[in-house]
Amino acid sequence: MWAFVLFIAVTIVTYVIFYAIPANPARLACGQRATAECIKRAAHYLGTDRPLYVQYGKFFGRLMPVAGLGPNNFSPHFKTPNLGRSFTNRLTVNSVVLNAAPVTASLVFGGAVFWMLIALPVGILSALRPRSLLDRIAMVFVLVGISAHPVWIGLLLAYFLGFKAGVFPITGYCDFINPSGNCGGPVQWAYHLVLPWATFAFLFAALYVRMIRANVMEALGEDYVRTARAKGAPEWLVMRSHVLRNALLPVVTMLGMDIGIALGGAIFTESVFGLPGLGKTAIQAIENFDLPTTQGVVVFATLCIILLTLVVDLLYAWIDPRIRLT
Amino acid sequence: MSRKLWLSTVTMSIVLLAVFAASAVAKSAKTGAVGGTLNADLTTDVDYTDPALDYLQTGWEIEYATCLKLMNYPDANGAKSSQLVPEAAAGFPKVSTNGKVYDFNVKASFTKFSNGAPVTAANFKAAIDRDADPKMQSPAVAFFSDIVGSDKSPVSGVKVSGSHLIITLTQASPDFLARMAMPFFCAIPTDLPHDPNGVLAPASAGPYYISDRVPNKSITIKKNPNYKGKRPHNVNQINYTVGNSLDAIYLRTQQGATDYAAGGIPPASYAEAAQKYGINKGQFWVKPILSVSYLAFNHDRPLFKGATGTALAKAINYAIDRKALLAQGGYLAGKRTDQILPPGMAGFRDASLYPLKGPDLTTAKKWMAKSGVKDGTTVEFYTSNRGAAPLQAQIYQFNLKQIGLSVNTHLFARAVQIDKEGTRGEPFDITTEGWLADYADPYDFINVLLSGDNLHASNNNNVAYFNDPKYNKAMRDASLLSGDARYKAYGNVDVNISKDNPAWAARANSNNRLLVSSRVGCFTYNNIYGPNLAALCIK
Amino acid sequence: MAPGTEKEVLGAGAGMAGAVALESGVELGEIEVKARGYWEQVWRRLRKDKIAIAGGVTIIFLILGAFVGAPIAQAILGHGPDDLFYTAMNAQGQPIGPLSWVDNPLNPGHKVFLLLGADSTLGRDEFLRLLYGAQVSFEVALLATLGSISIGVLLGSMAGYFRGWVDTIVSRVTEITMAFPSLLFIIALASTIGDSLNNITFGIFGRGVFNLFLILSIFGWFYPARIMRAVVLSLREKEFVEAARMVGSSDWRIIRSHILPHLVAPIIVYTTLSVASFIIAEAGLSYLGVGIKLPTASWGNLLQQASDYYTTQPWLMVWPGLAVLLTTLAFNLLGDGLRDAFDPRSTH
Repeated sequence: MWAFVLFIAVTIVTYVIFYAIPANPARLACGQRATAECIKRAAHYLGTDRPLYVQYGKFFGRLMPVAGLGPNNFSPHFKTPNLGRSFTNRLTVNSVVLNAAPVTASLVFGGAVFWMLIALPVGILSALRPRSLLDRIAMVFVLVGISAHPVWIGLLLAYFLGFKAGVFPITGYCDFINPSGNCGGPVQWAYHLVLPWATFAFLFAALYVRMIRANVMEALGEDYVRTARAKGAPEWLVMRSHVLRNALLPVVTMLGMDIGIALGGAIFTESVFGLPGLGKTAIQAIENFDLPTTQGVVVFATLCIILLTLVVDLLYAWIDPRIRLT
Repeated sequence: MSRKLWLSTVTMSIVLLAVFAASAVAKSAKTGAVGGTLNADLTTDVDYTDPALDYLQTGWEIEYATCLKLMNYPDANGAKSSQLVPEAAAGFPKVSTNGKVYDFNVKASFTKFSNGAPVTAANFKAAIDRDADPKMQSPAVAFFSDIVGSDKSPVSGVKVSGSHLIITLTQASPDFLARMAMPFFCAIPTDLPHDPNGVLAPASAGPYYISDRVPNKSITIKKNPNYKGKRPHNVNQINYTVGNSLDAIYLRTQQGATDYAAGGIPPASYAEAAQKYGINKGQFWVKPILSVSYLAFNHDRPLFKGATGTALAKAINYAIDRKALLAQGGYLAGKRTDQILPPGMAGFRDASLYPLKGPDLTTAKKWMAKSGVKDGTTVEFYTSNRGAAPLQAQIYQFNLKQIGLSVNTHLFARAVQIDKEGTRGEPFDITTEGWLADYADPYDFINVLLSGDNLHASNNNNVAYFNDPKYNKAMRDASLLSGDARYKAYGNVDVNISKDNPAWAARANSNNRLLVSSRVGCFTYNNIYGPNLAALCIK
Repeated sequence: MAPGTEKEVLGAGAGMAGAVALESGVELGEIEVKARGYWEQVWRRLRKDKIAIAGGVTIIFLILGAFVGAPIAQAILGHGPDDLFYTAMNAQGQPIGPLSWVDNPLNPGHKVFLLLGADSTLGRDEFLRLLYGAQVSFEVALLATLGSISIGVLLGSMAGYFRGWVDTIVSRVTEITMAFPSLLFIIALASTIGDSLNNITFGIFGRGVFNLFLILSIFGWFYPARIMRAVVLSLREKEFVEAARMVGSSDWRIIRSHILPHLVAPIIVYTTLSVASFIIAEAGLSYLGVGIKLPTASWGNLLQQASDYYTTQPWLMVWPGLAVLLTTLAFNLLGDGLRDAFDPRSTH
């Protein structure tokens, strides 16, 4: 229910923002030698000659998966939600979003794996050996990670590892499945994404090292851990079933939420490394006043966030039966 | 010309349309080997590959290789490449004495469409009818509105009689032929659907055809097996890959992973490319674009009215630092100018009117005194927030401060700027603009940008709101002339306006900066369409 | 979104602020206020934390450098941060490097010294722009912190104290704001109506500062709101609040004398950490071209310009990035120190 309100609010705001601006997409569609005739035709086709509420109504009707609910003809049937067509090149926004989504998904989920691979061992080890050399290095990393600007990290990585050393490609995206030329397949895909992943994961890795370390330390001090040790349980068993289990529970849910947040951060990484993902698509669409494409990305991103929140809630209820879903 | 380029045109940061090659030493198209596959990289996809909708330079580059036109530009370098020659027409059309009826004899037995269908006059009528269909909302309507009945499809002023295509105009317009050479009017199959969303891979009758296009991914261009004409068609296939960033394209072209950086290379790397490969020595090509960037003076505003306004316009022309302004576009961004017509345009003659090397403040101040404009007068300045425009805005602000004008800069998104400055009565004094040739005729610059005859309430191209009866008449007269007289007349209008009553401060003509890989040969540069894909070959 | 999962949602506030909430929020609410002795204790603990003090000193130094040092440097060098020296380009048309003397095109025959070289092909003094950029970064971060925390504390404590429908509304609005693809909206807003907002400067701020302040406040208030709500929720169940209510104190009186004093500590800690995150946010938005507008310098747009030359003139990206790193590091260290000082039991 709230998800629905959220959804309506988000889409209406987008419409209003674009309605308020003085640019005329129909004029843009006609190019530099735009004639009045061409602008009239284009405005009619784009629907921009209608009042705002009609435009929004049409958009909403297209998007709903159920059609045929008119007052006069009641013949409900399911259909594919349709985001309309781009103002710029008249392609279906569905296809534009579906093309860009895998790039962003690769970046975000790959990035999440990347940061967890760093954060888990470092966080746990530094909690087990507080004030050791590793712990101190980890703490410096955490501080730099949360203080440095992600864009800057990206540019530094691109300059030193990409440009100077030439170890990794600076830009470009290779499809995971469909090879195009010499670029494609899982290996090339991962190879081209190493720097973006590293950039993307830096901040979150720092946050997670800190969180995991704090959680593990807290769990180590709990009574049940002391009891288990006193009873003579082997250390690895104590770690596995008492310490880590309790310490990592909140991490799982936080991960779900942060992936949602990270979708926004993908805009920076995509713009530094020139990845053709949702963020770049959106920026380009906004610059060209391409409302349907912008709206499409916004709708898609909002749905993803809502969905992730839902998954997190369910997941948490499943892991921790004490939580009751209402 | 291209919409994208037009959107960013004052920034001059993007590569593209082209003109006028110096009498370059590029190899002739015949020496290259035939066969093989070339790769090209684009950062963003072309908007359309449908000839009725395509109005983007990268798209026109492709159409130049795939389209069969009534009249076309030859596959040559230099000045010769902008002189129209008959292609599908058996010769130049017969024009009636009143200049209103054009009779083309279509004889194209040397080719067929890529799908095997023969080419007749009906295919050219189909193209015009398709452009005219309101459903298509083709930007082409601006270029054939003088054909009788052009507001309805089929267009009543276009008739087919045997092999003849007879076009009747509402009035004589000698630039009609040049317009018919635009890709909007190239032969299409008569059954090509009137789909407003565009056909991705329409059959074509030129040396090449688009065999496949996956939007935002790739475009595949293949040799048309049915083409036996005179135009070169060397490589078997050209594959466009879409989506690599400029940095990636630059690296890929240097490594040979791709052969043509169709999307351009990063602005900061022009200098490096020039150092590595030399300029116009085989890989890095710098060619002028038929375009002009300028600062328009709003003649509706009191500041620019009358003789005092003219004096102020001259003062600004003396005060701006064209060298510094151009430098913001990066290395080899273009050539400084003080005139309306670009040097590659027929009719242009260099009049050396204003300082190109830097401001002449002494003369500028003299004209300021004559204008009677008070020290510290505020000037409302519109410009875009993209590319080099904000940087150039600061230079303008600085230059005009030197002659006592206090500039109030308004940065807009480019689309908003276009809309605002095109609306009559919008409170601005000066605005930055740029124009790229739609076709090679001075009408497209002089009349379109400066004639007071077609001022509207909104969507104006004449953003200087220049409306001088004397020059309006001169422009009208020139548009009715043809041949050398036409070009001479336009050349005079250009020089006279720039000298006696400057509507603008013109500042630069942009360059096309192109990089190809080491295995690319037969590089030919057409003045109108840029790099000639049909002529390219593998060394 | 399912209500009733408050605890972990608070913890999962996500991102940097989420971590702050996790570590500072709930525990701070349980501190006992011990009249004046409490602040003395805090100060004593903080003084012992050399790293936090170093952070604080760095901040004072940076603010002095930005607001006092910049005009002084300008006076010594004899030119301003927005002055253009077209001569400050090398043969390849790239901005000139550090420690260069270039001709002054305004005053032929005189040389201009550029300590860190030119910022771009316009040839402005990178060093001065860094200093003046610091002003803008601080202005944005401080104003946005003030804005977001004011809204957040007000709404959050109201929700926590009154509960019922107030809480429902505030919590729902918070959820909606959190799930908003805010970055997309900020970009859309800035590139559409932002142009008119940018011109609001009140005569003292740079162009775009007000715009960023609005945007960051609108999208930044929900973290403090959630923290405050949780703190107040736990406070209102405490014995001393119960006692006050029993003797008939009004809501206003309870809030003023029993709740607010307990909020001071988390507000101070959160403020410090939030300045750091807003400095990063400013740099990010200006990098995308939707923040501070040229010619006003900010660390974000310096970084953005530098990215055009990052293969040829890499030092240009080093300075603004380092400045951001140093500043946010100082604020984060001070914030961590303050949190420890307020609540020595917290583990972090």
